Amino acid sequence: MRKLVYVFVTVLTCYMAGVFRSVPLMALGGMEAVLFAAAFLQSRYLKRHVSAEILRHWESIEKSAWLACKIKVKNTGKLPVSRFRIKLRYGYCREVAHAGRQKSDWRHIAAAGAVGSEKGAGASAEAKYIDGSCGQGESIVQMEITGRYCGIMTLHMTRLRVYDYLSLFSCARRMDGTVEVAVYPQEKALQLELSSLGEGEEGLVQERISNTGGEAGGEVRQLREYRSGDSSRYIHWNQTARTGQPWVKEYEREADSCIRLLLDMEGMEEADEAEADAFYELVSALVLGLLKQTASVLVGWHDRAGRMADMEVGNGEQCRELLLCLYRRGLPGLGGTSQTPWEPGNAWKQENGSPGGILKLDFRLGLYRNDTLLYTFSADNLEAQITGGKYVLDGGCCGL
Amino acid sequence: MNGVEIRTGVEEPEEKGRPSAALLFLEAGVFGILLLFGSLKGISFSGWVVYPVTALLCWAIWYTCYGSRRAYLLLVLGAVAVYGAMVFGMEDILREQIRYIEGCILGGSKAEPVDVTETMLLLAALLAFFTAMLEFLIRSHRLLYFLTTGLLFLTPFWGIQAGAGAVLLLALFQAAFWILQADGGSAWRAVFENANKRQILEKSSLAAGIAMLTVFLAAFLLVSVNADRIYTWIYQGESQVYRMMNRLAGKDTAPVTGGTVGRGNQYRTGTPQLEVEADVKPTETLYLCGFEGDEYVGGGWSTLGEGELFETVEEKLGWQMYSNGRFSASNLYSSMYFMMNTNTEKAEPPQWRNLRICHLNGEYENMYVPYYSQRGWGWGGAFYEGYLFWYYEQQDMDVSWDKVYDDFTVIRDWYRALRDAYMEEMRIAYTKVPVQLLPRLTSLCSENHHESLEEITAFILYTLHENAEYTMTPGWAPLNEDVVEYFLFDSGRGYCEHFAAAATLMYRLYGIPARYASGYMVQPDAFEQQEEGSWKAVVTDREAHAWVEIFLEDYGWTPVEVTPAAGGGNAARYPGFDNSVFRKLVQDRGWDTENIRLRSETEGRTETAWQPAEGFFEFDIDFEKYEKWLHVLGALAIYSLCLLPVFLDYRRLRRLKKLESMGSRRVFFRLLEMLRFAGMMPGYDGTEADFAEKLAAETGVPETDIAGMQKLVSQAAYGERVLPPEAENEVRRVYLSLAEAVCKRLKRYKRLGFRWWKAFF
Repeated sequence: MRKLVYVFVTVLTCYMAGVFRSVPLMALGGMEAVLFAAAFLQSRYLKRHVSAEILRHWESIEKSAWLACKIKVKNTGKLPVSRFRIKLRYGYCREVAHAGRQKSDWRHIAAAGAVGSEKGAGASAEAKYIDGSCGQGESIVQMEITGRYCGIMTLHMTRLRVYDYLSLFSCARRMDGTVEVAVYPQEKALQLELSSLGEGEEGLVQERISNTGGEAGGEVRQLREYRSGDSSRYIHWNQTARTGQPWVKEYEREADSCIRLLLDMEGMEEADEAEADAFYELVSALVLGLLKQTASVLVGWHDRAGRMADMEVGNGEQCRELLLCLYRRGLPGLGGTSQTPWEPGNAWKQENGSPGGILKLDFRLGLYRNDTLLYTFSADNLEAQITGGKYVLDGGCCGL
Repeated sequence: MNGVEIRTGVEEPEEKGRPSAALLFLEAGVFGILLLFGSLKGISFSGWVVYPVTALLCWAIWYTCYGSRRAYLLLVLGAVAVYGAMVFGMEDILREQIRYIEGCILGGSKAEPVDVTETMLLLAALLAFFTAMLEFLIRSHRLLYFLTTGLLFLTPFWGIQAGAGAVLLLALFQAAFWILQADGGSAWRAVFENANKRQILEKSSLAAGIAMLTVFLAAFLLVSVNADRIYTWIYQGESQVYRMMNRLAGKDTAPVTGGTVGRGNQYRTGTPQLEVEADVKPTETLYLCGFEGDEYVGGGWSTLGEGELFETVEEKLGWQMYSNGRFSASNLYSSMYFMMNTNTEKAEPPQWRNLRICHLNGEYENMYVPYYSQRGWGWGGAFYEGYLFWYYEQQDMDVSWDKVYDDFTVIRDWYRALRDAYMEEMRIAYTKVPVQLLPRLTSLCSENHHESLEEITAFILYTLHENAEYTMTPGWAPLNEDVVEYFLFDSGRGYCEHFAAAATLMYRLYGIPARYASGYMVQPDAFEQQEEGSWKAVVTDREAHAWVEIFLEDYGWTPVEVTPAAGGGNAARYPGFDNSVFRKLVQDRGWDTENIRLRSETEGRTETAWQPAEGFFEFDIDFEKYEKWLHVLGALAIYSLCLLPVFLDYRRLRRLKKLESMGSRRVFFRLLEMLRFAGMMPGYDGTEADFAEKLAAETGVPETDIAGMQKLVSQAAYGERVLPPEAENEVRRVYLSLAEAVCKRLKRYKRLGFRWWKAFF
């Protein structure tokens, strides 16, 4: 449109100059025509001398936090660039391996596009443009990015368009730079109560070295006042009798105790990002909740090839590593894409084919113990359920 | 959105320093417009006063625009007050000057230039203020770009020939601010860590400015040397477009007619329009008259209506009883000279010629009549297309009023009486000239007195041929100039319509009855013999022509060729006047180029003002009585207009300042008000669960920010504790980013209301 207006004005200038026989106007028309050609050439010149590069290719953030992302723009020409435009495609990317080939599966949630963004026909990711200008040498363009869902979001710089000074012409060059950002859930733990703690072979907690004794399989760390929802089995009767108000015992976590958690991710491929996000949120909260009760959690799942994978999680950092494996549905420690056969530990080999004391979380947010459904969480109300509920893992909710 | 949000709207740090390039180009724009107005004919001003004051004013506005707003307000108010005092103090002078400039623009000026320095100072201040307001505060260049472009295009219509300086300065202004405001409409702005964006844009605009200056100077030199060749290219393009449009509209086959004297170029398509068939090959140029002009009405001639004239003639002769019949005065007169020539006794009576005219488009609303003719019949068979005239060539005309055949004496007497009565009336009707419209032409004729018809014709021819050049592409005449005067006194270029109109008016100014005529001029060479022996010519619009008719006693209305290229010679030819007579007269009179050349610059301006006809104004208000108050009101209106942007800017800043102390709930209410104003989110009151998502989709502001704001406002409304200052700031931050996003999505006019009237952002 701008180009058309310019050409129209130039032609009109020449015409008016002709019909009124005005030399200055004719010179103006001539100058406008020359500038038009110069603008065309300038856009070509600038295109040859300007390039862009993403500075860091791997980042991680918590959900809803903003990440500063930098692009380096390099101008090797003599002229400053009054305007350039970088096209970015972005979205959640879950790599799918099928029959030995990898396919990039861009997923997006259908929503009205914002100004400056486009959703091209057939495109599986949204595009956004960033305008800027730069002088000679290197400049850093900074933007901020955040993700609403847990997973790996990808920001791909596809094109750099450079404009002449009058923004009449532009020249684009393909750019190939990608930054992957792992979006983790915020560190929230489910409030759990393990009813079968220390109940022998059928209990959830596997004591690896020795049972050090004590009523609940650990040292009493402290006594505290009874709170609604506390199990009656932990009431310190002597203290209660002495003081006249209920007291309960809090135990030290067993150093080598471990809980097994099996993740059933069937249906993940067909699910959208919101559903996947709810699952990851719950996994994180569940693992962190379990870690408050025990030293480690052995988490098992099936990778894309259907092989069993597991990972022992003992702290928040390892929990993030676990989530990264889950995002990629790969095997731990191998970037999730290795085809190397993986031998899971014996922990998942149940005698008599019974799962015994294994917790299982499926993709529909159902939490099972020994195939008995304990709780079903809701994706819509998950945050409230995580922060406001207390869950006893022998069935029944202690209250929200 | 697909769950990923990107933002680049992080506030840029306030850049230090003032952009000097902006001042340079602001002054270029204002000076360009001043120079343009300075080119108006009839005005002058003291440049040594106007330009320094303007430069100072531009500097002051620029300095304060990029400095403290309070100082800016005070300074601008002070400047307006000074100018206001000037307006009141010099009210009479300014009023006179403005009235004079208005007269120059509307009616052209031929007088000595009048000094209008005071008005130019006022204009400079208004221009500087307005331009700075748009470029620095509103940061909108588009309006000024189109205004200045329009000014460059429109001023030639007012007779203002823009100089090279004005054109160059305006071009620099347009391009530089185009570059400086390059990011004005961008929804996504990048943030730089190590680059000063303003400096980059300034460097770009300066580089472009230098390039423009160089190219303009080169282009100016090139065009100056090859102007005519370049104009020819333009006209070739224009003619192609004209021909194509004419053909598409089907107008090319319609015979030309009318009394308009063209203000622009004339192009011919060469499309056949008439077919003219004669029994004998013509030996003289054949004039086929399709239009005769009555009165000159500025740029054209009214159609001749001789009904009233013949009524007077009939009344004089006592022929009223024949007024509607075959023997009416007009009927008799139309064939009078043909009949007289036919019935004059001669040794070898000439044979009249048959001329059949056929309109190729089949429409016969207008007839093309040869001179010395009458409608005929009986040639070309019983059925023929078109119409037939019997006519004589000029060389065959030999009317003797005393030697007629005996059986014609009665009719001769009628004709003689009719001739005398007609000549008496015609002298009044065809010597009218609107002298108010043509002061320079009137002055020329009154200063060069001539008695005889031959002398007058020679003077007219000499004047035309010495001062005007024949061309079909003379360019356009300004709208505030009379086209005939512009042709003769200013441009010196024209075609048949201009030559004929000028000659007709000059004849009339000398008291010689003359008429402007147009139609076709067919040369004898155009006729080709047909198999049956007749001679046929196909007449195209290339033969369309205009000429002058003068009245000769024994010939009636006779064509006089005054257009140099059309007649093939310098001098008109009519009985009693030819080239030799013309040369002799020129020699005898000692006319030379210096004596006769017309000088538009030195011609005195007529003092004869146009007087409206009685009853022209139907209402009678004594404006003089209220003039003082009208001026006070006008000045107040201008003051208010000047102050309005300042006031709005001040009010906007105050409102935004107030926002900083506003509670989060009030900020949220203001957000809702803003959305209602923008026509966004209808039906939402901000409590809905999908409010944040929908608003984020509409504005591009991250949904998390909006949801966070919603939550904080909800806490402020229903929570037990007061929000901490950080939370209040967060609400304001989100409000401002939403306001910016909403503002960018509004149409331009609504954006003005959004920012300056409602002061949402």
